[in-house]
Parts: sequence; C-alpha cells; structure tokens
Amino acid sequence: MLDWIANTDYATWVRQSWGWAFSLTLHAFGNAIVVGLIIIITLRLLGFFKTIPYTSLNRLLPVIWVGLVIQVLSGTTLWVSKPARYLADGMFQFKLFFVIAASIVTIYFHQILNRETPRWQSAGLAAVQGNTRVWVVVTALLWASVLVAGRLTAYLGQLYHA
Amino acid sequence: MLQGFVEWLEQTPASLFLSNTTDFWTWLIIPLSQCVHIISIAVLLISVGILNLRLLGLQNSRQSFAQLAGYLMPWIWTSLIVLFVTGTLQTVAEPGRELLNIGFKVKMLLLAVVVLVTLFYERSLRRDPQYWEFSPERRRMGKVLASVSLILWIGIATSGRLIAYLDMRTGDF
Repeated sequence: MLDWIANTDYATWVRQSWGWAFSLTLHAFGNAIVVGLIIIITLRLLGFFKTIPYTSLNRLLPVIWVGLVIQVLSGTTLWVSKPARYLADGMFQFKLFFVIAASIVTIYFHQILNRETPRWQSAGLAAVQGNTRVWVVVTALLWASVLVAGRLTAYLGQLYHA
Repeated sequence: MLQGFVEWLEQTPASLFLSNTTDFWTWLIIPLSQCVHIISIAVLLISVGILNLRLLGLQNSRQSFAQLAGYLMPWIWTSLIVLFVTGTLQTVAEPGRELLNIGFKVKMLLLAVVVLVTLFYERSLRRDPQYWEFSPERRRMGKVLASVSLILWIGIATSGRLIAYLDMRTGDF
C-alpha cells in the first residue's frame, strides 16, 4: 500500500518538481507558528515580559491549531514522496511520537489557559506556580523535541545514504 | 575573491574542528545549532508577524502600536542575535555551502533591508509614540511598510530554507 501511495500522481509530482521545496518551505513556516507561539506563551507564563496580559495569550492558542493543520498537510505531502522509508526511520518515528504527545498535552494546556488566565491576571501573578509551571515547561519541551527530531531526520537513520 | 575567502575560512582551526565528522559529539554541534536557529526563526517570525499585522490593521489589541512594539522589539532583536551567532557557527563549519550559494546571498541582502526597516520602526516610535497612528497618511504608509516587511521576512525564511536545494541538479529530492 505504501508503494501505491508513493506512485500516485501527487507523490510523483512532489518528488520530481517544485512540490517538495514548496511543502518544505510551508512546513518551515508552520513550524514557526506552532513552536514560536508555544515559546512566547511559555516564556510569558514563566514570568518574562510581565507587561503582556495573561488574557491576551488566549487569542494565540487557536492560531497554534491552525499552524498544526498546516504542518499535517505539508508534512503528509512530504511523507508521500517516500512513505516506507520515512516510516522505517527511527528519528521520524521519534518525531511522530512527540507530535502526538505534544498535541495531547497542548489540548490540556489550552483548556487550562482559557480557564485560568482571567484569575491570574486579576491576581497580578508574576508567573504561574506549582503544577501549572511543570505543564508549561513540559509542553514547550515536547514541541522542541518535535523540532529537533525533525531536523535530525535529515542526518541520522535510514532516510539518506551516509 | 569570495572563493579565496571561503578557501581561507575552510582551513582555519575552528572550521576544521567543526567539520570533523569522525567524533559523534563534535558532529552533533551543527545539527543542534540548526535547531536553535530554527527555534529563533519561529520566535522572530511570530514577533514580526504580530507587529506588521497590527500596522496592516489586521490585529487588534487594546495597546497602542508603541506599546505592542515595546513588548515585541526585545524578542525581535534577541532572536536576530541568536540567529546571527548560530548562522556564523554554521557558516564557519561549512563556508562554501553558505557563502557560495545564491539562496544565502539573497537571504543576506533581504535581511540587510528588513533590519533597516525594523530600525526605522524603532527610531520613529522613540521620537513620537504616535508616529504610525498620527494620521490617515501615516497609517497608509504603515500599511505599505508592513506589507514590504512581511514579504521580506517570508523571502528571507524561504531563501534560507532553499539553500540546501539550490545546488541540486535535476533528479528526485
């Protein structure tokens, strides 16, 4: 079945023309949206740039999901060009694992922010405390792991000849 | 002349150290530098995105443009510094890959222009915080400059991403 995917017109077009470079570029911008917003939100919640109101962070969260959709679409386009090789590659498997883990944690993170930001804002909190702090850092580290694993797929594993 | 500089740089101790692929931990330095580079790109693009979308009237917030710029400029300059440091590290490791590549040259040219635009934003706001909201003409100028900035930033990220592919001849990716 993976061979069938790789031989579709779409996959062939991606492999042999500007489809690959275009999807890769889109994937870079989608990555900027997801990881960039997560980092900015994380740093604010940890107490940097205290003048940014907590409640203004809520508006950024839906944009993260838009970024994730861009990543799934561009990522799938890149994947279909060599589906079996990607699935067999350890670093890529690592990355997919982190994408799933990070997405689940981010759903939870989104709910916490929607619920708690007004309270944090009116309490004049400098930074989030306790368990929330741990979740904030974990979310950022999971997305950073996606990024690093993605970058390292080009270097380690089965994808490219040594 | 550039070729001569590349050849000189390739022979420096720093370059030879970084391009030594026999030791795993040394070899890992450049991929990790690229990861930091990518994270900084993410923070930078979001920051300049928000700033320019505000000038285009597509982002609403209760703060004035000057206040928004006040939050975002530290992110912008910090990420540009990190990008410069990691970029230099990567170029020293593989001088020809960057310095002789058309994508890299385009990227540096666009970067020089957009840094000037960003400095202009900062300077104008320091002189007059209302500078960009002062009148319809100013707001129109802001929209033009914001559009130009966004196109430049997108061009920079795209040409940077394509460096790896611009030396390739025909064939499958």
